[in-house]
Amino acid sequence: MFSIDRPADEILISSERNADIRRQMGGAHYSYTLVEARFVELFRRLGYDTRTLSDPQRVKDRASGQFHVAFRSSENLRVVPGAHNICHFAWEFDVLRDASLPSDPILPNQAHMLGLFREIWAPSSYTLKVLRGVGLSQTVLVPTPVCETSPQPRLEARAILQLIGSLPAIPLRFSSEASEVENLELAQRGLCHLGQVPAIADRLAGGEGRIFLVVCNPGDLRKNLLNTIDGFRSVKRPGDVLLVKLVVANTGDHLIEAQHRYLRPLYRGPAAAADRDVYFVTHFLEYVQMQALYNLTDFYISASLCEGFNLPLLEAMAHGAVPVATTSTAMADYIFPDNSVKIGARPYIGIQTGMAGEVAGRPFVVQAPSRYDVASALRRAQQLTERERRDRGEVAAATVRRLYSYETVGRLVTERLAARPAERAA
Amino acid sequence: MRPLVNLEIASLAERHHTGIPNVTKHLARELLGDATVEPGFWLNRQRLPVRLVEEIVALDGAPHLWWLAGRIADGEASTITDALSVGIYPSHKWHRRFFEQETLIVHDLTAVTMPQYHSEATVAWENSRLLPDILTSDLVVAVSESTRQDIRDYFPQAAAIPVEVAQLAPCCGPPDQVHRVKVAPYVVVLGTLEPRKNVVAVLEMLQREPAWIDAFTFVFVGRWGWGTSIADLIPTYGLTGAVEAGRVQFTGFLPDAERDVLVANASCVVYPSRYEGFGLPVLEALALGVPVVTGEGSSLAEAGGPYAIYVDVDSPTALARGLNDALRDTGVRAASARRTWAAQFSWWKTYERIRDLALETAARSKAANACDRFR
Repeated sequence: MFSIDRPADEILISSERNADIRRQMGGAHYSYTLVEARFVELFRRLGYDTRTLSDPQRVKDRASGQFHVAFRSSENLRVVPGAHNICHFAWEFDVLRDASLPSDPILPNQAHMLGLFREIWAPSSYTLKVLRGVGLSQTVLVPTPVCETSPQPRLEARAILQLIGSLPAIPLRFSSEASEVENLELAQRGLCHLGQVPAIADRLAGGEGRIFLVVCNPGDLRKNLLNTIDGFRSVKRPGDVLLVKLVVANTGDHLIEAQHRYLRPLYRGPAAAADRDVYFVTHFLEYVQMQALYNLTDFYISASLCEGFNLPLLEAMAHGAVPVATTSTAMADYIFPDNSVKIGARPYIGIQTGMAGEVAGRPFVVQAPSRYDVASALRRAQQLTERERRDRGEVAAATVRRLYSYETVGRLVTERLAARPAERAA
Repeated sequence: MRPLVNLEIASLAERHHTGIPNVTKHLARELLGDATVEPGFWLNRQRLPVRLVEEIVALDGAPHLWWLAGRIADGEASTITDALSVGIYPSHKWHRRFFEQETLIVHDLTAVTMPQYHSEATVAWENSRLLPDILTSDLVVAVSESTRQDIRDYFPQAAAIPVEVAQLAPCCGPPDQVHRVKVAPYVVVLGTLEPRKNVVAVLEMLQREPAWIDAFTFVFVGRWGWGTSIADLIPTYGLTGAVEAGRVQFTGFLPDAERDVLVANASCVVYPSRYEGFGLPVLEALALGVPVVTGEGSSLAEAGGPYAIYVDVDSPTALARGLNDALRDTGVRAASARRTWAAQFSWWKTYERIRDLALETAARSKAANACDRFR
């Protein structure tokens, strides 16, 4: 049997940032870039060089069998001719666009585009099941690496403040009817540094309040941001604070306006809200700063309707934050009773428009938590003693290390890369 | 502990309170006067102060409500209470599953059953909203048996959602308080000027039988909705001279009180709608004791009972015949019978039924989820 010990040293990468991003599949493309960076690091640790291709379809002279791994949404997937083409693809709905007439456009047909690849690496059992369910039998489970095998060192209060204490924190002060100038004035009046937020300072000094965090793209309706905020405001106790890290394009000089800009479409109409216990962070943060943010966090809230993987949640867990999370879709792989506080949810068909699942053209079911579901879960989280919270956080971190460390995922990737020549020979 | 009854009042932000905004206004008034519950009034995700709502329900329109809601942040985000808590949507939802228990009032499915009588934008909006709104409700209240049947027939996906009927009530004032005057005889034609309301059926009748114009002034009451403009309709039906002579008049929108006086003193009301979810104008005419001619079918017989005259509104001849019948039926006893029929409908009854249905549904749900209050 033909086999080689080690495939070629260089892995070709095609990334979303070089693709034609026209938001055909919703507004969540940023996650492909984050995932790509994790895999590039993993490949490096496994001894591979990587080369990023802007247009993989232009490559015509590659040695047969070279690996090409794509991190793109399906309509932007292109193969390298002759290569062993792999795509990493996360999908969070129970339907896929997989059928069309011959006269229909090919690019939006997800199953068609994915079917061009020899392997599909699905990051969760849920995505795996959905893709195999539409006949994409070449799908295998290869999640994104999240953390190291050893526990993440906890940062001390001083180190946390050094890293993120001077970040602008914008309190929830929003009026849909105020003019731009008025809104700026509103926001500026409450603007402070993260380290100056009283609840954060108290908590770092050992106070009894709790710090809740959510990291999300507000334009991604799955993330359920308004119900997260409302749920928190409904049950917050003195000393509690909710930090909303917005994952948005760099807002440059207009940081303060960002809150208004991103909340207004969510409210979809007249609205005003003010709360000194809810703060937005709009800056781009380096990973070391994100680590500091996670270290600061007691509870990470993920009221998401559905997920293909949910990297920020896993990152927070890896740092010992207790997830207050829904347990459907990808979360079923790693959210368990002993490492989390569950947000209950009811299944609905088509509860809101504008989600990527609509590309399938068929009804899809989502488990949608209301603000009451969020509030109920937060209340249970608040009832945990400090010891119980810490224990649960440690189990959460251990879960992520066990399932998603570079070492664990590295073994899976090594298996897949080694399997390729054997498959070809067979 | 009093139950919390939340009412979505976004429709009060309309410039004129007719149709659904009027229904919302009456439900809000009853809720304000209901001492057995704690009221909550909402626009989008804003809970509005009760005092503000008391002011709003005294108006005939409140386009400034949006501006106000966008400025009022009273810090009250929570409706979490140990008492029963329900949310009632008089029409579409801003946010689904916003209240702990949701009751949706469905007025009609005409954008589904008769899309040809709506603008494309309305059809697109209604068709994308209605089914998800129903599917995310704990209870649906149809304003007529006809609408209830439409929901069951056209949305089999929602078979598991309970659908109950709560009929509406007249928006007019007490009949004995409406000013009565002796004037030359006139006929009131009610309805927004839009294809479904079909007021052109009356214009066509007048074109064919101009003798009507000699005998009666025809007063068209209702704002222009969409479709052919009044300016174009008048010459189309050869009525330019009649309009110039004041024998055919278009009032546009009228506040409730002015419309009541106009209707109460009319010889007859014509409401030639092709299809309705309930048919409030029919009930209002009867409440004022005035004979009414309306279309056969849909829900209109539920509103008019045996006291309205039903005709094929696509036939000018049938419409004229119905009008003749109605004008012969002007006796005091007939007027009294019409008022008696209408008196069985009241906004308190409508509100009370919706409130009780919603609270019963919430109580059942609470019992089923007793282990976790907020699920």
